[in-house]
This record gives sequence, C-alpha cells and structure tokens, in this order.
Amino acid sequence: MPLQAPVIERDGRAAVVRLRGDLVVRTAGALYVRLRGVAKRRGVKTVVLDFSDAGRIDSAGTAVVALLDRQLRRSGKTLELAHMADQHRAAIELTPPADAATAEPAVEQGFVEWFGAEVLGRWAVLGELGALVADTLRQTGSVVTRKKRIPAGSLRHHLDAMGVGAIFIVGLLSFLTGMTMAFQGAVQLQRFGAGVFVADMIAMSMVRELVPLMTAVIITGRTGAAIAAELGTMQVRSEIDALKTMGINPVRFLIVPRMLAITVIGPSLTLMGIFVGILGGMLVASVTLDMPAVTFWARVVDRVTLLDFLHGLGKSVVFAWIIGFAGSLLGMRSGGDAGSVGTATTRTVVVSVFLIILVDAAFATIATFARHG
Amino acid sequence: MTQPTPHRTEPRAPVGLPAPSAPARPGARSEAQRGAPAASTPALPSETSAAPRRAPAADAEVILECRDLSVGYDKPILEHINLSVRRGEIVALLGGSGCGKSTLLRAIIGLQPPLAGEILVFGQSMYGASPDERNALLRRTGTAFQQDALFGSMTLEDNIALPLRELTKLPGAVICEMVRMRLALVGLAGMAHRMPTAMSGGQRKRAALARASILDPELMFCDEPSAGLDPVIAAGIDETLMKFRATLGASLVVVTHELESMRAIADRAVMFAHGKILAEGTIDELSSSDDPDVHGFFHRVADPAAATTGAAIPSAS
Repeated sequence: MPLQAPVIERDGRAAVVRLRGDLVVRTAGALYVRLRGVAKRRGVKTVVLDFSDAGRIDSAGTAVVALLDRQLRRSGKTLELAHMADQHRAAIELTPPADAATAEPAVEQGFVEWFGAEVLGRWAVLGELGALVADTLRQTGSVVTRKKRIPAGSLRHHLDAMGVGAIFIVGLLSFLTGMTMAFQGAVQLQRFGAGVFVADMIAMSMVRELVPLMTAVIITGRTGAAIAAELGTMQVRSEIDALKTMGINPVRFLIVPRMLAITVIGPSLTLMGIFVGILGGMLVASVTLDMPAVTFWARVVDRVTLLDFLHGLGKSVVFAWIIGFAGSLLGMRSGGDAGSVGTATTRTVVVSVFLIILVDAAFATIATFARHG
Repeated sequence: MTQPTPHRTEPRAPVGLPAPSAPARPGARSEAQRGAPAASTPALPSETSAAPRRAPAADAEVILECRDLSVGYDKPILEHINLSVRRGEIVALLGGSGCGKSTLLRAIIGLQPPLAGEILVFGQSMYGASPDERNALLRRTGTAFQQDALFGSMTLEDNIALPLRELTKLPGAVICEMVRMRLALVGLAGMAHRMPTAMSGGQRKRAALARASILDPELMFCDEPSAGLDPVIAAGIDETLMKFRATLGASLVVVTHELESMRAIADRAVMFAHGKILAEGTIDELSSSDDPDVHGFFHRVADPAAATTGAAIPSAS
C-alpha cells in the first residue's frame, strides 16, 4: 500500500494527522517534510498521529515519529499517537528515550583551545624528540663500548637495504645533473670566453651543494619513509610493546642499527655521487668544449679543497641524522591504526625535506660569514 | 587467513608429549609447589586439563601487588584497585569489554604509567625503578599480547629465540634446542621455519605463548589468550597454560571473558565493572554471587540497564 497524502485536520490547538499507507524507507522522506510543516504551524500545541489507516512501519518510519516527538518537545509542544495497531506499537517501543538517543556532546573547540593544543602538541613532540635523541646516543655509546649489542646481522641488513639499493639511482641522478650543469655552464661561460671555468663551477657546486642535497632527498624518499613505515607497523601490531615487556630497549634494538647505518650511508652515497657527477660534467665538457679530460680534472683538483669536501660530507651526515630521527620518531609515535602509518610516512618525508633545506641554508650562511669574517 | 589449513586439523596440544622433554629448570620452583596442598579449590571437570590443578598455599609469597592503583588515559578508567597475586596462582581478570582490564594489564607490565598508586612486582616498584631495574623485573615476567605481536619479519624460530639471543649469552645450538622444546610444548613442533603470516590464528597465539615463556618467567600475563578461537583450539591453549604452571612453576594473570576457559584454569577471578573491582573470589563463589552484574556475567544475562527502550512517546488512547 503506497503512502497517500495524510489527511490533516485541525481540532482546536491540536492537529490530527491521519496517516495513510506504509511508513517505510521509500515514503518516510515525504512524510517527514509534511509532518515538519504541520509541527511548525503557529497555534498547534499538539500533533496527533492517527495510525488507523496506516500500513507497515519500518525503521525509517519509526525514526520520523521519534524525530518529530523530539522536535515538538523542544519547542514546548507534544506528540500523541492514536489508534496504533500492535505492529506499530512494537516498532515505536524500540525508540530509546530522548535523553538516551542524544550522543555525548562533541567537544566544541574554539580558536584559543585549538591554538593552545597545537602549541602544547608541538612542544610535546620536541620533548619526545629530545628524549629519543638522548636515548639513541646513550644506547649507541653502550653498543660502541661493547657493553650491549645490537641484534646480530641487523647493521649489515640495513646497510644493504639503505645503501646498495640506492647506488644506482643516486649515481644516475648525479651523472645527469653533472651533464646538465656542464651544458648550461658551457653556453653561459663561453659567451665571456671563460669556458674553461666550467670545471670549477661543476666541481664546486657538486661537492658543496648539489650532490649532498640531492642524495639527502633520495634517502628521505627511500629510507626515511621506510623507517617510519616499518616502525609504525610494528607499533600498530604491538611488536614494540612486546619488546618493551621482554625488557629489551626498542631504541637499541630498532633505532640504533638504523641510525648507525644511515650515518654511514649518507656520506658514502654523497661521495660516490660527487665523483659520478663530476664525471658527467667532464664528459659533456670534452664533447662540447673540446676540453680534454685531463685539463678538466686538473682544474677540479686545483679548485676543490679538503675543506670543501668536509663541508659537503659533513652536511650529508647532518642530513642523514635528520632523516633517521624524523623517521624513527614519527614511526614510533604513530597511533593504533593503519591510517596513522601512512600519515607518519608522509610527514617524515615532508618534515625531512623541509629541515634539510633549512639546515642547508644555515650551512651556506655560516660558511659565507666564516670565509669573510 | 593466508593459511588454507582449517583450524580443526590442528593437533590438540601435545598431550602425548613425553614428560622428559618438558624443560625443567635446575632447582625449579615447581618442585616445592608440588608439595603444596591443593587447598580450597574444588576439583574441576578433569577432562579439560592434563595438568593436575594445584592452587598455591595461602601463605605463598605475593609476587604481584597493586596498591590503590588508578589507571586510565586522561580520565581514570579504574580507580583504587588493590590486587595481589601469589606465587603459583592462576588469576583471571574478568569484565565486560571496555571495563579497563587491558589498561590495567598495560600498567602492570610497564607500558602505561598509572595515574596514581603503586605496582609491586616481586616486591619491587615497577615505576619507581630505573629503566635498567625495570627491564630486569620485566625479564622475570612474560607477556602474551591480545594481538600475537610476533615480529612479522622473522621466522617463528627467530621470534621465540629473540629474548634468549638478546638477553642471555647462551650458545646458538642451545638456543635452538630450547626453541625446539618450547615449540613442542605448545604443539607447534616442526614449524620453526614458518613465517608468522603463514600460520593460522590459533597457531600464532600459541607461538606468542611460546615466546612469552621462553625465559621461564615466574609470572606470565596473557591478554585474551583464547579469544576468537574455536572451542577445541581454545581448550588446547588452556591446557598449554596449565602446563606452564606445572612445568615452569609460573603464576599466570589471564585477562579473559571466556567463561569456559576461566572455569578450566583459574584458581581465582577478579571481576571489574564501573571503574572498580566488583567481586573477587573463586569461580564457584563468583558464579553463585547475588550481585546482578556478576550474576549476569556468569549466566549470560543481557544487561537490564542497556535495554532502555520503550514507551518513550505517550500514546493517546
């Protein structure tokens, strides 16, 4: 029996609605709109729903009745139900009382609360970072002095996963960057008859800036994200809790091997990248500038000092630590669900790249002032 | 899961295991306990357990004590909890979902500092200790988590050997032998080289028990050891737990809401509800309790307070 428009009669201050047809999912929407209209009418104090011609009622129909009841009550009006059949009564009886139906109020957060929580949250993260770094240093110390061990084979495993797998991609990108710089440099410098200086330019920028930065970005994407995802998954699966309850320090077991490996891998890949990058530049220079490789190499050796190398490699160590600690902290902090592992991974990459560029700028500034001051 | 083998084909715990292969510690405490009178505990339906039931003597040493403990996250979930476990005892922590029993367990095993009160394990304060002292305490305990918490990147053997490799200086061959023996004890003989992902849920739970017990803990914690398992495998887990007490002399604290399992193993039960300890005693005492909450829990009665529906809308006659 389809819903037909209900018949509405006014009886003094009461509106009597004679329901006709089924009150089901298909019809409940239209019914609700009609009843809402009746309930809002001025002068109506009581709405009486007359069920004598009503058909089947399902959860949607029941919800309409319950909702109407609550809305009327809120505006000081009342709902009465009349001539209900047993099936209607049974359905309506499933309605919880109005107070039980309302959920716990969601906490409304104003700007001040939001801002305060943000600041406190950031502050807490810094505190955790400090604790993690301190614990890592302490544990590394006891590993280095052979008081404690890291799991057998773990260092090798991480060196392999972080380093060997990245050789090709770091090498290729450095080579291509060296080539591109040589092409660009050759065009620009030749206009001033200074084509020979392309060797100086490539060597200096590769050693001091480009390769450390590029390698760090690649390590962030490959290794930093992997650290966060691994530790996050272990956190989700209570594996880290299991370690703690075995009396095994998770920092020593999980983080120290990764930090040791990344500290070796960062400068190693950078060093390799520097040589491959200069090689790429050398190749282009010898083809486009007719500059013999020997001349190119002589200029490089003449120009680049040990200090430049230390600057580049030192930076790469700091970058590696940034990546390692960001991945470790965010991975360990990730919450109990799969989504939080994804968040931890993404944030590791964003935070690492941001901090790397920040620190790179700081290095450049300090180096410039140190040279002139 | 990924394991095509149906649970039913699992062996029902190694009942037929030759006794000598059970690892007996030199000077094992269980020797002393074997003499303890099986006082005050009524005999249980004996076919559910292979090991004889031996409740500890009433004057046995208290090895776990919670004093006026409040646990929770921002707000306390459980408050003013006083609880003690004696050596050799199997205590079940009961309560409905969300009553705080898992949070209490996390506090006891050092993962979640309590809001107030004190936890004494082997007479030493869990949170008053330095990290090294706390680790030393934890090494005398073993914990099997609700999720099995096996390391997904390691084989079963490496998982179980991990505490031995990390915390002892035993030679590798001895460690392998110990792992082999413990796998046999929990009924997973021959599965040493499986990865956890290639095992069924029941097998992983037993593997977790094997790992938790590999250092012969004096006190073991199990969070819902048989939840979500079929009755046969659950009975196997119960038997394994009883065996731990019999062969290792371990006390057990078991968080559970499986009535059958509780009846089979627990000497004593502590029931939590409404943020406090609601009742404490033997299973028989609790199951004959008059308290509506306790009665409802033991006799599977739906909470009358939860059925808050009906007659909300006045009907005009």
